[in-house]
Amino acid sequence: MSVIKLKGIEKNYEKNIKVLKNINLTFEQGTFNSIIGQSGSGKSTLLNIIGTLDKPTKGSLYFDDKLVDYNDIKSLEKIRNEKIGFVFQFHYLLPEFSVLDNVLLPVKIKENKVTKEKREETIKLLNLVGVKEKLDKKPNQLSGGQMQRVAIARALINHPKVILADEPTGNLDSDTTEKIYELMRNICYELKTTFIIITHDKKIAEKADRIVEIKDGKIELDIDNK
Amino acid sequence: MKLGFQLAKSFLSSGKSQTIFIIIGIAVGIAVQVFIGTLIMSLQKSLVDKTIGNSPQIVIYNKDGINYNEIIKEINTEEIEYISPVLNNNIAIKLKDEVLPVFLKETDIKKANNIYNISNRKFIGKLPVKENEIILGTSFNTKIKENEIITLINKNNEKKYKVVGFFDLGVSSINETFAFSISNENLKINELEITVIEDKLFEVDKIKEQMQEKLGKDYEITTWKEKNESLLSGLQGQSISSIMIQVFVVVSVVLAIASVLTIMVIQKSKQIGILKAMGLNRKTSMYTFLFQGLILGVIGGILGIIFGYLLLKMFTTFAVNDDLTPVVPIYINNTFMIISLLISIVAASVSSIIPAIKSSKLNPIDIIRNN
Ligand SMILES: Nc1ncnc2c1ncn2[C@@H]1O[C@H](COP(=O)(O)OP(=O)(O)OP(=O)(O)O)[C@@H](O)[C@H]1O
Ligand SMILES: [Mg+2]
Repeated sequence: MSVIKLKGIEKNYEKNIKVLKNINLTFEQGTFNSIIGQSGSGKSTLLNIIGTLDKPTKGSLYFDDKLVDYNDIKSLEKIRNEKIGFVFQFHYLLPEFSVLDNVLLPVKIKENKVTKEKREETIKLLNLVGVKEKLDKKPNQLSGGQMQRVAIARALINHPKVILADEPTGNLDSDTTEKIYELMRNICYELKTTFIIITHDKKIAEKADRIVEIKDGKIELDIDNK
Repeated sequence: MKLGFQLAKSFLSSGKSQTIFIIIGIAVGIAVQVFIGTLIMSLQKSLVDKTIGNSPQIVIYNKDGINYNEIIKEINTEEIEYISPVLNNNIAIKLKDEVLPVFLKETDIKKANNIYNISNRKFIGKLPVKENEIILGTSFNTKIKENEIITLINKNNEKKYKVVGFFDLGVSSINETFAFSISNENLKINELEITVIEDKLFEVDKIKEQMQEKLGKDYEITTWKEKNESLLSGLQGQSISSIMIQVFVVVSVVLAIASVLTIMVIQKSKQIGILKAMGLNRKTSMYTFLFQGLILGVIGGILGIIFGYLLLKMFTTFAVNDDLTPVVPIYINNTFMIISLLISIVAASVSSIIPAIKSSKLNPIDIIRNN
């Protein structure tokens, strides 16, 4: 079953700058997908449209075969909170909150309260990503790799169907990068979460189930790599 | 809502010095508002007390006489503090070689004492207890001595009284003309002297209107307001300037909070953007800033009232006359304090509305793309 379907997606900025041109893509449940392409080719724009953060000029997006209405802000908020987990290049943790509270934020947005079970689950998740002993620390007391692991835990906490990651290891060393990808791949197969990851790193991309290459706003290549 | 409150708390405590400064700012503003408001109110109260505190505030007169028991049924006694039935006589004292005009009030002296507060002020002698005893204004004391027997003449009647005391009501026209004696029980009366409870002091005109309606045109009703018009317009001018000062203080508090929270929206736009990318709804992002306003308003308001209270205490301790009594006796009005607190809370909430709307309009894509 397809989790995400893009139909004829286009994105123009003013004065006819066409950033995305007629993008048609389908992503299956529990797959590990990578998006590559040159700087400025439109990768982030595409990912933000999939994440409902950005609005396409033309075309439609389907989550679980349901059309996304970009004008219905309430339904967008629900999709972002329950179906999607974001991991950005710049981890984007909230400096005011501890590691544990950062991971719990999507839960509080969803349910307004945190049960004991959810708290225990969060600690397990932090253990899974390998930063359990840091749960009381503030983000600025963590290393870049540790922050990115916390961001992954935060993206996973509401059991989303899709994790969208925009160069999640963009400013990490290659060893840490390798470890984080291994972690994400394991989660992908264990929890049946769909991953869509933008990367510059060809070596990393080659380990994905599928490689999509964007060039000048069009799909240049779409390789099944299983 | 809970999340909004948590976010508000953590945003405020993440910029501690900024938060402390704005709270002190609000507190100082509210303290000034409380101080000025209380000072002016106390000033007015002591002025009013001095002028009319020891005299009737409403007088009901009927030249044909008043039936006390009938009239008491007609008027609303809830607003009345003391009531004293009187028979007024414009008569004269006959001395050896001159005749002095005197305004004699035959009355129940205990009730009159409630209204004029005769015995607690400068007073020589004792209050009359028997029917032929009389007390006079202190000005008579130059010509008449204590325990002297005097003759009062009224048209053709003469009656002898023993002078048992001299009173000083602080107003020379009264000290020169007034006399009190005891009324015999079945004496006809022609006047009711009334004081109202403190809250109704400035509503005597309304009370008069109601009384007039019930009692009819035969009764002549006068209030302290009618006798003290210049005092009233002075008080009004003072009230207006006091309110102006308070309004300006509150406006500056509102502007201060609004500017701090507007900066806060910019400072925290990254956080708001991330939260919105995680699905934070617009309502909660508004609550985040409304709660910040509310927290600032409550803490600043409470501190402000404490500061204001301390300022007033200092004022009564240091601004004193030679005999150590305060220059202006301060009356702490709890209702006014609570109103000031409410004003600060409302002002803070109102000033957080625009920042709250701003934060609800933040688009997460702008924040995500710009880093
Ligand atoms: N708000 C905007 N207005 C106009 N053009 C924009 C805007 N945002 C992005 N673009 C343009 O859209 C194109 C695609 O941008 P995008 O961020 O998607 O590229 P990318 O593939 O993610 O690049 P990178 O690998 O450097 O992150 C770029 O040419 C960029 O200049
Ligand atoms: Mg990009």
